[in-house]
Amino acid sequence: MFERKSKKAAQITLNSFIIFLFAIGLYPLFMAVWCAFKTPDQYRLYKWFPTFPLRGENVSLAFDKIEGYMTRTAFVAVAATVLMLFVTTMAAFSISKLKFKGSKILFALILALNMVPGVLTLVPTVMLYHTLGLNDTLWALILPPAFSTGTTFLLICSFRGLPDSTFEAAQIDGANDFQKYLLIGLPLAVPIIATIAIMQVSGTWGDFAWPMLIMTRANYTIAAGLKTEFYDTTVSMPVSFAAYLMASLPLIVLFFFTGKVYNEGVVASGLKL
Amino acid sequence: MTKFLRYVKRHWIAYLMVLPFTAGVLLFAVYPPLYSIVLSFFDVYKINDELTGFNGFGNFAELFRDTTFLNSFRAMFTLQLPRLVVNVFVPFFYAEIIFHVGSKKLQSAYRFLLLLPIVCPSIVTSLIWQNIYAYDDGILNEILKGLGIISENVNFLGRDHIIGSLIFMNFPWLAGTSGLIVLSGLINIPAEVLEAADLDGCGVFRRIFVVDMSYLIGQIKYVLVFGIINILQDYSNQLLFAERVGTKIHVPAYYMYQLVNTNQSIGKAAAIGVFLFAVIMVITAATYRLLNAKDEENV
Repeated sequence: MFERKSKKAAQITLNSFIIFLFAIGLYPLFMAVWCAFKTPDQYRLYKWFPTFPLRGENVSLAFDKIEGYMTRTAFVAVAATVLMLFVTTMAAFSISKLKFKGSKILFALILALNMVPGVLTLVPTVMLYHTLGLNDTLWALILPPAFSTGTTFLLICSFRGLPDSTFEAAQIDGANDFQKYLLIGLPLAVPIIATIAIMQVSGTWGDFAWPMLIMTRANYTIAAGLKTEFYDTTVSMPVSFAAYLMASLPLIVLFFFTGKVYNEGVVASGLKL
Repeated sequence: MTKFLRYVKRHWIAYLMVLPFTAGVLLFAVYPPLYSIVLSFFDVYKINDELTGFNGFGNFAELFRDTTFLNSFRAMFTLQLPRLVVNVFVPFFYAEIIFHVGSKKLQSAYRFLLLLPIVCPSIVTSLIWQNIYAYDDGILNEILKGLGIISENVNFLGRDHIIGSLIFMNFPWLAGTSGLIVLSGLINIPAEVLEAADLDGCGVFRRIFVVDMSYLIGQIKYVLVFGIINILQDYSNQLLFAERVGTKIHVPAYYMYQLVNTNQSIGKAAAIGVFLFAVIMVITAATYRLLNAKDEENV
């Protein structure tokens, strides 16, 4: 009885401690939300806590400025994710389950390329896009994820976990290699595919270094746009926060609907390490 | 030859399926690092310049006379090493405390909250932390004054304190994806092992360091190796934070980005990339060796 009580006390202490840490850690998020609805005076005097009345005007002021960036980014994020999933899942399935001559070499190449850091490739990649005439076109943002060796490596690991017997049975039933991929491989890999898709969408959404390097200002995606339109300027702070909030809204919605899938996908891939 | 044709005929779909990826990888992933090495030996100035003017190790020699570059290495170690310690230690910390939560409902809520900061754009985090550190009405100054730790406002964003401020940015560093990866390893430890440790009178801390760590070697390797690779080439804080508050700290990768972005000394930028690559490789290899040695001891 005494032991159970002390265990309960320990749990309460632990939980309060965790909630305390989370409260501090998530505070910037909440602050961004209430700062988006303040007047300049409210912001100057009381930015650390919410105040009323809320100023909805900020949102419409900000939206006019970011609308163009938002639609462009949404298009790029969807296009990049679809192309990336198409190219990488096909390759990963082929390498892990179809076992043709050369698949081992390809796998070794993927492993080796995984170790090559971005710093080594940045300069020539920029030059390459210039040479191909793809700089300042949306291709420069859509193409790179499709050839990500990291993503392909993750997919290969999870396809490998699927039992070979399923695919042998399909072959006996007359399925060709592509049908094995499309009808059996893909449906079984949905959790990891969803995780990768979420990572890609939020990656495209948040990246500003690459777009700023390869695009001109008129073609920036949202993060680069926010940086040049708000972050680096003297636009009123509450309006800036309103812009950040709206720009994050699609991600927040995506996360609330798919957070669980993402969570499970990360756990599943973590177990394979 | 006919044998070869028959093989291809039987496997053509498989080859077709890897074709787009392989072609793209050869062009966008294999060619750039190789060309980077070539480029680092040439005196190329602008992005669209022809590859002329072989320079030998000239670019590298120039780098080691360049005080901005040399200082950037010192900044890299004073700033990024503590951040690496944070990035490696903190995921374990969160994984362990969440693992010890008894209620499954609360546990899954915490796992969700751990990921929540992902939706917050780095621009927003950076902006809010600039407010927290601000000299005039920053909340950190107010709190520290309230607690009587300091008597006058401290300029946390000035040259003297900026490195410390960058290290403590995002405190308490909610661990996101790496925290979940470590947690997944912990959940996977067989219940019997934990029970046995408990019966043998193994305390919580001893269990964490002896039992958990040996089961988590895969996750440790992942977090550590990727942490090192990422942090040595990270310059997001420079782009976002330091530029805005006006206290510049060069790290090598940032210096390289600046050279490319302002379209000057491309050959030199490539040389920085190659040199940094070598540094990363050496450190990663050393880490692997160390971890593998540890691994064998445990077996």
